[in-house]
Amino acid sequence: MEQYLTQAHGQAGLISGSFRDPSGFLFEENGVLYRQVNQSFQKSFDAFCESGLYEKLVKKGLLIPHKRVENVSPRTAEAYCIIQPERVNCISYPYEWCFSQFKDAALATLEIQKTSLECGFTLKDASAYNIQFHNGRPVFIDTLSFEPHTPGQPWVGYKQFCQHFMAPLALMSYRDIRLGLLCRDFIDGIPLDLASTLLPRRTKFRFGLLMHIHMHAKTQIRYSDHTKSTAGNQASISTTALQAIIASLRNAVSKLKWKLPATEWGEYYDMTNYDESSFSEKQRIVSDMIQSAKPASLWDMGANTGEFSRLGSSKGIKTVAFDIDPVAVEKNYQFMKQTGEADILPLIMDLTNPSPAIGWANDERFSVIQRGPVDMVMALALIHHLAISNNLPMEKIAAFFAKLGQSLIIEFVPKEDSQVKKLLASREDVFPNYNIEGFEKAFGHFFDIRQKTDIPETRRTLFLMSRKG
Amino acid sequence: MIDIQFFTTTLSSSLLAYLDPGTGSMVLQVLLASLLGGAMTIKLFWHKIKRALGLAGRKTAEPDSTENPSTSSNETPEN
Repeated sequence: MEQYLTQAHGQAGLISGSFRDPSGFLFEENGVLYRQVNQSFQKSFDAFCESGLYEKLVKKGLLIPHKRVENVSPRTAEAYCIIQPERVNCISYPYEWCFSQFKDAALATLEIQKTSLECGFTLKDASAYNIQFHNGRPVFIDTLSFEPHTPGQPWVGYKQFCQHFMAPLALMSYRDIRLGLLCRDFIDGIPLDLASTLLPRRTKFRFGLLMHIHMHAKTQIRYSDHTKSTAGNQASISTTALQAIIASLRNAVSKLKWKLPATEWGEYYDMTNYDESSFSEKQRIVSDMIQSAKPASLWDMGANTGEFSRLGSSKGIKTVAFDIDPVAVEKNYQFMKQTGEADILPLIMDLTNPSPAIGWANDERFSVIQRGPVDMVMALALIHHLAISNNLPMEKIAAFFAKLGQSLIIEFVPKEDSQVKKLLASREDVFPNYNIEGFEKAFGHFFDIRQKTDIPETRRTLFLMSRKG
Repeated sequence: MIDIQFFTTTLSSSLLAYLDPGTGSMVLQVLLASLLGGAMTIKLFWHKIKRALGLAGRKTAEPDSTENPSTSSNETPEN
């Protein structure tokens, strides 16, 4: 592994998150993503491709399709072949998923393991980071995770599945939805002893949670000092029993629910001071602005349930709808699932503390900024929350948006607006420069203003800007 | 807890995974295999008996009330 790391990191274009598995790694060349398969994994990879499992999983929409390429040079001497996987539009991480996204990712992983066992294969890991949302669905992206199943062997990925999926989902369901954010601190999943401590006692009366979290945590502690021995009789787990464990996990995950509470932003569109005509006028202006910039990719920051994001995604623009509120993101995801939308990805994001780069050398999982820039950023009804609620200087907000996108649609909400009045009602107004002149001056350092349009019957103004240089 | 040290020496030594599968996790799987695998075998056997007696089809046998894999099938993401 160390030798592998030394060799792999000496090469340009390597994707930093794929160094753990010695079977191969991802790299980028001329903007195209490739995966090198190493000779050590040749037998398993060929067996996987020839078994029919690959076609089966791709047909079910559970595995990212790939093609073998011959015209790309291998990155290291251990290479067996190079494959080109279909590219996922925007990489997302478990700590950015709403409850149902997390649950769907867990169920997809179990369905893959079930299908693999039926074909004589097994997943050698069960990392939540192997699932990405692609064209609106959870898809497994690590083609090198499949190896022939040795009859009698347990599932190597069981521990990882429980830490990466069962524990966060149970905590989100039974304790607090915000506990999904623990995944950001625990990159290899939430330790089961911690999950067991945090979960309410009543979860011990649910068979699945009792076994896969509470008992699992106890056995981990009990056998933590266990020294491996080569002696011993042959104990084995039949494939039927293994399938029963997978079914038990699936049943336990399926039973986890999250009842949507009413939150600050959940009913936002009903609460604003827009009347119907000004709201539709705002939609028209934003739609025209998107049309004139013709972006291929769009990030809607503070998207709520994605009403305005859909002005982009409905035109085939690859759109990510970020919002801080898990309820809004959940509603957005439920809606896109129902309607079968493929071009919108709702994600949870606190813009005042966006996802950082984490993992080994702070280089395994990308920060939000590293995942950009995109063609267009939208920030509608957001500026007052950043500038006033979070005391962010206007220049810093402008600088952040300039890092994220080439063009920007932004709504300025003045102090005279009822929403801003509400924010200032219980605090001292220490924002003398929070006005449209100050806004234009601050953003003018980073952007050229291309269009400025007042929203009729409101005090708000929409801007279309292009990044300078 | 049931002491199944006997299993751990075998299972952990015979797996050559790039991830540490965790001894405790292996042990638990052996325990679950006997519990759930046994239940599934009984279910399948019971189903066969019912079929032989011509009773199958009226009411489908369930493995147990707490862990019923069939109940989750309509919640998989592809549906």
